[in-house]
Amino acid sequence: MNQDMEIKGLNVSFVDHGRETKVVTDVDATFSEGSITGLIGESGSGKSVLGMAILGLLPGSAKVKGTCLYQGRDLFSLPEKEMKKVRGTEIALIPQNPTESLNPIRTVGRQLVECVTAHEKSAKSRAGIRRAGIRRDELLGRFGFQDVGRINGSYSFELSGGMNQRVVSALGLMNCPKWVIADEPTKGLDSILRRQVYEVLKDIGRSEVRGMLVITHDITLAKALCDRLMVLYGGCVMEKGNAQAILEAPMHPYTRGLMDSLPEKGMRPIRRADRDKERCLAGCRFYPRCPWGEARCGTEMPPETTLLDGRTVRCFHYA
Amino acid sequence: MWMLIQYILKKMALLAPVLVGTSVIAFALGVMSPGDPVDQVLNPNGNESYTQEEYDRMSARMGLDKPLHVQYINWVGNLLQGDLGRSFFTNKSIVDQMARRIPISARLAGLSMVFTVVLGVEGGVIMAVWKDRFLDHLLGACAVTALSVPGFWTAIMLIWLFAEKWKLLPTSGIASGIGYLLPAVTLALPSTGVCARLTRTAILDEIGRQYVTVAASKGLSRRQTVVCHAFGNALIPVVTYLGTHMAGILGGASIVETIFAVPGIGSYAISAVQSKDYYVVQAYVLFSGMVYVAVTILVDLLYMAVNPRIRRGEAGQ
Ligand SMILES: Nc1ncnc2c1ncn2[C@@H]1O[C@H](COP(=O)(O)OP(=O)(O)OP(=O)(O)O)[C@@H](O)[C@H]1O
Ligand SMILES: [Mg+2]
Repeated sequence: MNQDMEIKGLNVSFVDHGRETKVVTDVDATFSEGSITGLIGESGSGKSVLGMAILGLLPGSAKVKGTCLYQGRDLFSLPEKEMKKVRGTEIALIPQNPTESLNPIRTVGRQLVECVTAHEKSAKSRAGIRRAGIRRDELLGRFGFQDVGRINGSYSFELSGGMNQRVVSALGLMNCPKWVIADEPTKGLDSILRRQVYEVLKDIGRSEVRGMLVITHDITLAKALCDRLMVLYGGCVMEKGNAQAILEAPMHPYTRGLMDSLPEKGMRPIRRADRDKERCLAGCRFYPRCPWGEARCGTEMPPETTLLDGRTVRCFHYA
Repeated sequence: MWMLIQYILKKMALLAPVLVGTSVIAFALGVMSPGDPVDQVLNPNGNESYTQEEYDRMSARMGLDKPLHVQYINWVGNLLQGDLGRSFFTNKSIVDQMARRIPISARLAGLSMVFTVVLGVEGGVIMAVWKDRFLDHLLGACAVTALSVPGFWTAIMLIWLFAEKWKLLPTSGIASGIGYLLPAVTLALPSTGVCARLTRTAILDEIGRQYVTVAASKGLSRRQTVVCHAFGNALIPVVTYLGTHMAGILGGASIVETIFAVPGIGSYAISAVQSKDYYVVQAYVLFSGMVYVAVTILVDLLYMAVNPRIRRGEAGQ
């Protein structure tokens, strides 16, 4: 069966006391089997929300519209009972904020084993737990822990941020899922560990899982790990396509700004938002900061344009 | 295990000053309170006369002619030998009385505690699970009513309903075990309300945390995330509340015991205060202090059981 994940017309908004705030707008994306897709964009651009929407784990105040086709089913309209079976086995999460992601009153080892025992009844048997334990120790070893026994018996508050980060990476991979959504898996790690985590993710992304979605601020990681790239700004996909092509020759003004702000490109920041233009809510999200802005950018949302090399850009400049 | 014993001993050592303090206060209470104990003994009915000579003799016999610190040391000395003196009025040994009454109060407190824990925690969990729906509102209203109605009113209503109208339960006394039921319910009602509300808030607080979402991302059902993850964390504030509450009711639920004529430690204290039976009051204050210390240690142990942060912290020292 086709293992692609196909998102169409995804819109997410949060409702608070009757006021609705849109945080993800009109996202269409296909994550195809065998690919690692990078999701980049500034803080607050809706990357985590997009990932959590796929898993159906947004809080009750979130309104999700659109479809997410996976194995012939729409994940967004799947009943909770079915969705429960999808989580962890079909699609697993490597969460952001590792320390808050772990239960402070349970040992790390137990929480890891639970990823497996949550699913199969038989896994609760002694043999199942032992197998889960072996998988856990193997993963922790791969993520650079030497004293696996100590880690297993520790609580999250006894481990450092970087250690917890690697623990949750193992947590996402425990149950051998088909898809992994990794939310900033290299945050807070030193360069050696970052390299190690990257190697493991790359290895697992190529051999064990069907596909991976990596949310990151780390462009170097994205460059090395991802085949495809999706650039988010203000909840909109600004540019998506082949990772190498986008990183070498960014097209959208926001992607260009993002690349120019990298240290190796001279750290030129994207300019601040223009006060007057900030009120133009109907148009392109990037319009207030865009160096190329035209009048219609403020009133009209530019369509996604597919270019010759297969990437799509949401900008009138290329329409 | 050895760790645990060490911990308990350390806690006891830390709480020893509390005990000493309590004993001083208890003793001072007897000395400072209005009325003269010698007079009380010589003239219990208020219509007998005695000479100064008789007075001095009695005072010396009771040890009241000595300086205060000597009196205190004597008192503590007797205390350590298990002698708290005799009641002025009944002339019965206070230790014997206490030994008879403490189990009764303990039974009452225990039963009421069971109500509070079972109904309060359960109610809180149900309210959290059905948040903002009918059941939540209904139980929430019950909880507020329960915690705001004064104990004596509840007692009167319960007696009227169950004893007078339906004739199901005895009005007072604990001749049969069932007599504990009404006082225990009366005692448990306000704390059950508080406990339910506390549990609800604590659970909802925890459910909003990220580790619960992550637990759900593993494929656990909503119920499993609440039971296996949120609940344990939510218990931490609840245990704190229940601990202080327990210390309070173990020390005797004076009003409820008096209304229902339960011969416990609380009603003993009330009658002693009314009749200025100072030795009894002293003994009672001392007892409350001891209960407080014991419950504090117990709560600390419970706290360690539910909170690994404390368990690890204490063991590491
Ligand atoms: N539970 C929530 N209630 C209301 N608004 C929310 C909620 N979660 C996220 N948002 C909003 O959604 C937007 C996108 O948030 P999101 O967490 O997806 O950002 P992000 O791209 O992951 O950022 P970062 O890189 O900092 O993790 C933000 O503006 C945030 O305020
Ligand atoms: Mg995020």
